[in-house]
Amino acid sequence: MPLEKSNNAPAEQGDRLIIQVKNLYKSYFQPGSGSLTVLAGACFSLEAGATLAVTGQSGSGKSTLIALLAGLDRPDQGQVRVHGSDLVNLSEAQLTRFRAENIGIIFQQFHLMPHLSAEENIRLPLELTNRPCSQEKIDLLLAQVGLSARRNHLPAQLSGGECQRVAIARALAVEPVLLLADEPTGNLDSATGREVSDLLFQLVDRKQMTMLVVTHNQELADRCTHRLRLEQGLLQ
Amino acid sequence: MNVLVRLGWRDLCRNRRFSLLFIVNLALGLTGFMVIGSFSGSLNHHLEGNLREILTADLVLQSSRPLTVQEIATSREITGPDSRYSEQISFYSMVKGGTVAKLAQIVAIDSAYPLYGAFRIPEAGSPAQVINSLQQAQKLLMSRETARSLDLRQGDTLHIGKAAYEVAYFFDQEPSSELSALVLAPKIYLGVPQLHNSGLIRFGSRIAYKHFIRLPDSADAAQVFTRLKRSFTENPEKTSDIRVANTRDVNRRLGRVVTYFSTFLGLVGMVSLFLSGLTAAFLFREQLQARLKETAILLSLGASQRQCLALSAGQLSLLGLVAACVAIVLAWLLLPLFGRLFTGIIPPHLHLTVAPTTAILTLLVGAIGSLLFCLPVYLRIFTVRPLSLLQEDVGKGTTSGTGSLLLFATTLPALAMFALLATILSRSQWQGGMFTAGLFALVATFSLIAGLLLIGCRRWSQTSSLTWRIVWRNLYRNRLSATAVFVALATSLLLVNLIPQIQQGLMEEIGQPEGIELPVYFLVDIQQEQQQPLRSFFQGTGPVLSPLAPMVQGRIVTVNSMPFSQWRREHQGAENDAFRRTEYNFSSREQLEASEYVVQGPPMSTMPWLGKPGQPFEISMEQQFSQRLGVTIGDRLLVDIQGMEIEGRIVNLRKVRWNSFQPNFFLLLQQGVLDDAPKTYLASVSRIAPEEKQEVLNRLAGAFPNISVIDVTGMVAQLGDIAGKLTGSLRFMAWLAMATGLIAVISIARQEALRREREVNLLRVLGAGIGRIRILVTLEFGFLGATAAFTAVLFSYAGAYAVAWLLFDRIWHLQWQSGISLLVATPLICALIALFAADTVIRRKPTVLLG
Repeated sequence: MPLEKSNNAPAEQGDRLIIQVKNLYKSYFQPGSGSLTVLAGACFSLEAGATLAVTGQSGSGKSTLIALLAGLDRPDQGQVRVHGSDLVNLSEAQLTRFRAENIGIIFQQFHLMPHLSAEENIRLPLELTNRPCSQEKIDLLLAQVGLSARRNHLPAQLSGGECQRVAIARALAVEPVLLLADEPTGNLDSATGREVSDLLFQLVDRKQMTMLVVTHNQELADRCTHRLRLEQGLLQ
Repeated sequence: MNVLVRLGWRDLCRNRRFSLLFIVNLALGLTGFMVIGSFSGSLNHHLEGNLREILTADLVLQSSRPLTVQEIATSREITGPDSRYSEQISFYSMVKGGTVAKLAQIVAIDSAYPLYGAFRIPEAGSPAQVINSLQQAQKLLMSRETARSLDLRQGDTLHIGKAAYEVAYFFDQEPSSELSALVLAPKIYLGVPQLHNSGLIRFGSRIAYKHFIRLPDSADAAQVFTRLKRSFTENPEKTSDIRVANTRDVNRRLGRVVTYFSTFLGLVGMVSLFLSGLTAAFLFREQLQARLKETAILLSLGASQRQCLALSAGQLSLLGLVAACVAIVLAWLLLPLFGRLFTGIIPPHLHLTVAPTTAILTLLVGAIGSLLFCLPVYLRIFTVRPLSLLQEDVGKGTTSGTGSLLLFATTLPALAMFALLATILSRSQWQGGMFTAGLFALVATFSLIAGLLLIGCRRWSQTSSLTWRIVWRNLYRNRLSATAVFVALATSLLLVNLIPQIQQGLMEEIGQPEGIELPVYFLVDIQQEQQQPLRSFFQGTGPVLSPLAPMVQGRIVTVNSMPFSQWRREHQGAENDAFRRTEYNFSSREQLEASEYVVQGPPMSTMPWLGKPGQPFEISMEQQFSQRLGVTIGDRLLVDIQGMEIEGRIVNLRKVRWNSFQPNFFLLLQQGVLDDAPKTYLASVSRIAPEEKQEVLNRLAGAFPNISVIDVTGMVAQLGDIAGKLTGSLRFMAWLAMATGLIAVISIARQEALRREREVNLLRVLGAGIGRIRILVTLEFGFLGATAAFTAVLFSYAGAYAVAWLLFDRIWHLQWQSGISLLVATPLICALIALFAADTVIRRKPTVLLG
């Protein structure tokens, strides 16, 4: 069954739309069991400053949706427009540049560089793309995520919650127009998860940022302005 | 600092063990290359800088007869009025001191000698004064070692021929100390005017007449050389028995010796580099596998694929550069030790130092080679996708398998570099290419054997023993690492065991050729009238005199009616230029000696040649000599024997065991041909007890002062010494390869232990003790060591067998001691090293499972 536009999803509002997805199809070939369709004609859009939670069971295609929106993967069919750019028609190099300039990603497993300190991890995306990286900005980000005192610690010396805070700061460092979060509290205990989600929403509100969160966590989903549920590849 | 540089540096620092193993491994591989390159570079540099001193002149005219006044005048006309000349006459003769007789090289020099270089004569006036005094009186100049061997002291008398000379001066260093390890006899210098008193210049004496020429600084030596050569050797109207030599000839001759040394050593050294390249690729593969996630993170944060490739390339190049620097330092430390292995073979004052060009090449190989070795693994970065960060199997399934064809293609640049280096070391494209292809084929064969063994492991894993089941399954599951260990060990062990096999074959061949009794003395310059007295001298005593072999000097005039000079131009390659002789020794026999046999054609007629017109005499030619001249059975040679031209036809080709030290000849003529020619004879004497050797020699020299007696047992000892030194240096390189092989074991065992850490911990959580885990590692690596050693020993015996048949023409003798030692020691060492490498991982607490 195709993924339909949710009733809860915002209507198209011209230039204010950050995400526009039309007739999105994606399937994977699995040796032995043939093709597995994950997305089949998905359509939805999201305006600037909104937050969208995509929930669903494991394997329902939530991460695939994030991968397509981040330009990490390409759809079989359909259109993905992010901040006015048609990602389907961009080359790999253009996608890389677009991602670096417009999108911040937060992973469930943090994915920090293990041999860089908290501060260096936050600087990394700016330095990789040769963008200005003032100390004030980094100090501010560290202060915002409450890690000023832990700036020189390596990921191995930080707790899970602190690692995720670093990952949030790193994602925000590029000042993205779209923040994609893949199970941002999935690896954390409930108390730490709550702290991290508080921080995340606080920062998104403050920066008027658009965010799409993929999560199992209903509490986290309820904090979003919009919600979509993916179940066995279908939107409910 | 650039973020990529910082990332790369941090990564290398964080993975210190990887970095260290990579550097040590590659450094060992490059050390052999660096040592050999520096060794031959230093030697070449020394020779280049001392060519004139080695030759003692710019040009030399040489003949077996005195040059005529007209010839010298012609030469002076060409070389110009400012050129300086020095005359030298040399030959071998027996000399007799107080109690000892001995063969010596008598060198008569004039007062102008040497034109370049100098004697170093302590406890005497200036060398020039000493040389002048040699012209005035019957005085001798020799080394202290020579005097000692003749039981002489300063002021004693030495008899040369009919004359008695005073041992007046001792030198520490002579000007023409050449690169020659084999000394037939020590040199004794005297003045040219004093030579004729000895009475040794007579028919049949093999005398070299030399005229050394020093050109003025402004002269064009090459042009003068060409003119002299054209005048004396390339003018068909004139006699062509004068040879003209210049420093380039010396360079070519000595350079050939250097090339033989460095080629074989260099190629053995290349095996180390190959093994270290193999290990480097394995190490990097494991490292890259662990870093795939980080690469994916970088890509997700906006890094381009090019940046990620540059990051890894920079790391590899940096490690390679550091390894090259370590190799340069190691080479610098090892060179003196390496030079000691060649004591007596290389010039005594040779300064062995790190050659700048080799150092630069080593740095280049380190920086670029490390990347090329790892290229098949390195290109996997292309397959890393940041998408994997959203998947659960990040760091494992992020790369797709490369096709075997692509994998093979990515090994080609490394192979090409390897072939290029082998070509540089061997100075021959053919040798470099063949060596690379041979090594590649060997590694492919070892890989195939390892593959078959591992298939066997899969079958054996059905055993009921839990320990062995885990061992067999581990080996089969980790086929790549098991194969890498097997190949690295087998290749290095093959070298380690092959070299003693060849050395033993060589030593036995030199010291005791199969089926032939080695003589004690070899007699030269026996006069016709001395035949019977000589036979009587040995009759009834212990020593046995061989049949006397007649020898006549002559020239080949034509081959198949074509002038010989033209024939050689058309049938001999440029590399045979050095062998171009004008005169050859002819002989004839009633029957062939035990040291020779006919390999092609019928036996020569036993009937004497009657000299009928139109009926050529029969010629038996040594096989390799015929190949060198480009002639074969049926070809006709017109030879000039003592001014008489007669034609013969080659009827058969012979194989000669030159190492028998029996009187043997390239050309045997039918009986009757040499009957009327004045000739000298050669013979050998055997069955002399060591304690009687000197006494027999003294009596022989007393009775026949003109006969030169060569000490064959002394020569064999010298040859054995040289062979020992050469194989010693080969062993040095082979052990370097072995060390590289062991580094491969350490690296792979360590990486395997890290990769299986989770598995090991699980076994421990389930009840296996550390002891049991150690037994698993011991059995696994012990098995690999044992099978690799067994394969290497078998291959080395096969290789030694092939070398024995091809080079030594003899039946193979098994040298089993080294093989048995390797079979016992390798599994033990391999298991111990693996245990050592994996120990820290084994002893870690299994809490990682809870992490």
